[in-house]
Amino acid sequence: MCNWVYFKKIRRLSPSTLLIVLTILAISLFLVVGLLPSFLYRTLDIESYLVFHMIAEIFSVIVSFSIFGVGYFTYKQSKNSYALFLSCAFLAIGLIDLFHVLSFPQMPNFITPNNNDKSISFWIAARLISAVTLVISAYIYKNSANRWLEKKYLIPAALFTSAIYLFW
Amino acid sequence: MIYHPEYLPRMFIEGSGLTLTKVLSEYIIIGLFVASFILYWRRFKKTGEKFIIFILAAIILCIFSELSFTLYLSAFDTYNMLGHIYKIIAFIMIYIGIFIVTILQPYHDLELEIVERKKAEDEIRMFMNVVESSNDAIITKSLDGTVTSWNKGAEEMYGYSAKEIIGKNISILSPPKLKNEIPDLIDKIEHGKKIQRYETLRLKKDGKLINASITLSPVFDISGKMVKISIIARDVTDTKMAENKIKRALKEKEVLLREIHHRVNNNMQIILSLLNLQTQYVKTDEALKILQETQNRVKAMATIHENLYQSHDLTTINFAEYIQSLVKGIFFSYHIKEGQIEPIIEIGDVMLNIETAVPCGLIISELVSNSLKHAFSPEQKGIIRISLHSQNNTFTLTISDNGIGFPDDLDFKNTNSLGLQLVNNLINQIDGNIQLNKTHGTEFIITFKELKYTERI
Repeated sequence: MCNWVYFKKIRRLSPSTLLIVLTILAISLFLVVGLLPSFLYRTLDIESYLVFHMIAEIFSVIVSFSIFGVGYFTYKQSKNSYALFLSCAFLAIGLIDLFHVLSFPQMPNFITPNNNDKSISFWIAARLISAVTLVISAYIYKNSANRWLEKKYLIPAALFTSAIYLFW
Repeated sequence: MIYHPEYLPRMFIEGSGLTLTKVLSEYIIIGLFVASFILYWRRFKKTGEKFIIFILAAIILCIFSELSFTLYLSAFDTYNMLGHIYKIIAFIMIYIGIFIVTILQPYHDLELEIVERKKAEDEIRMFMNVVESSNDAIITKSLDGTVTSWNKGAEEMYGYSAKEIIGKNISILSPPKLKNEIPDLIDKIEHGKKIQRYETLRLKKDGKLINASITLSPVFDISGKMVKISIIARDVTDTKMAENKIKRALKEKEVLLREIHHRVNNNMQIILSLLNLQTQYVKTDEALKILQETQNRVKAMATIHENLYQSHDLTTINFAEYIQSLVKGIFFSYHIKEGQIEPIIEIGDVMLNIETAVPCGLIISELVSNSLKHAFSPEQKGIIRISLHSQNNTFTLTISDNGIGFPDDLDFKNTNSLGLQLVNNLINQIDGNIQLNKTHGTEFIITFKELKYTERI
């Protein structure tokens, strides 16, 4: 329940205040890096960057799959079309992000030889899918009824999209 | 991307770096994020769904993440790392949002529902206690007559335990000759009729018959459809028995009272006969007159008892009928010839109790006798008028004649005449008031209230 208590606490602030605070924090991080380049701006060597990139991306893949798990496995009880759609989309996003990590140039060959173009293509695809997902999901509600908003269509669609992109 | 990368636009070209497609794609993605932010913000304003705050936060972070990937100078620099971190936080935000939507919110709703349900359950339990502790039998049955609930009161009344009877048809409670009654009652209820305190016979488990007073009412479900019938029944066997006992006792008293009035009347008739015999032996006119007057007085009382035992309720008599027969008797005893003096009796449908009727009868008897004796010279024609009217519980009795008039030198309240003394005494007895009007013949106006009826049974 601690998530819930935490949620209750921040709920007292108005949502616009919260979002503005978040935006300011995000910008200020940029500014701090930009204004104090001597301390904070670093260009890592390839080996160290690879470790960071692996950890960061694998973690985000785990989160993506968690989103999928929560939305997918609670659907039986919650009957929440919105959560089902978003979670299935994150299955595809997680998979493609995984392909992105695996095709990083310094990684061992992922089926075919890795290169920057391959890795970045997966990256852009994942970002494009997440952006489109967020636009579409804005129109989907808990009890939206559409015959496409069902497990038997969404799961194959997610797997198919990622597979097609992978094996193109 | 693996087998035919040549069909996809190039994102990176060795030597020259990022392609235009890659940079444009990033801007398109940022544009889409901004669009989704606007859409979600509108949705939030419309629906107020709390989880959207996390989605919005995620979108902001995604935008900054994308910005940092367009800003970076080297693929391995701090901006690049910042972009990855923003992305991770954004995904966590979406995770929290989905978690709220699918788990926390439903649990929270469920908790509220449980509290509500508990309240409702407590209320139901309270009503169940009320039903269970009732002395009356409270039963529900389905429309085909199957018993669906059975309280303690019903167990005591009919002798069946709830276990035994639930699921069986309620017709086992009705005696064989009333087999059709329960379907009829159900039919009536189905047609919207009310059945309240309907008295009937019911069969107990041990075979005894009991008198039951039952009230049936329909039970509706949420959609307003009748699904059950509730029965509230009470064992009225004892009450019924007591009622019958009282009725029987009342009947006996009535018979007895009728007998008494009959005997009083008979005894008075005997007295009248004795007086009649006596008249044959008296020598003087004076004595004859006394006997005759006494006979009239006894007759006035005897007639009342005669009327009483013939009346249906034994307490009040029809005064008009009584006066008719009384006056007829007096006229007869004074040998008034047909058409000589005419009695006019104006009495409406007045019922008087015996306490008032006896004095009134005697008063009328005295005053009519006086008129016949004194008001008219022999052979003169005349009228005697007797009227009784009631208004606001006050009776006005008027006895008048158109004869020679009451002697001026005589004070009717203070005379030696036994008849008038009697009248005055009787007026006192009924708490009345008497006035004499001498303008046209003689007119006595008596006002009184009916004496309070004292219950004798």
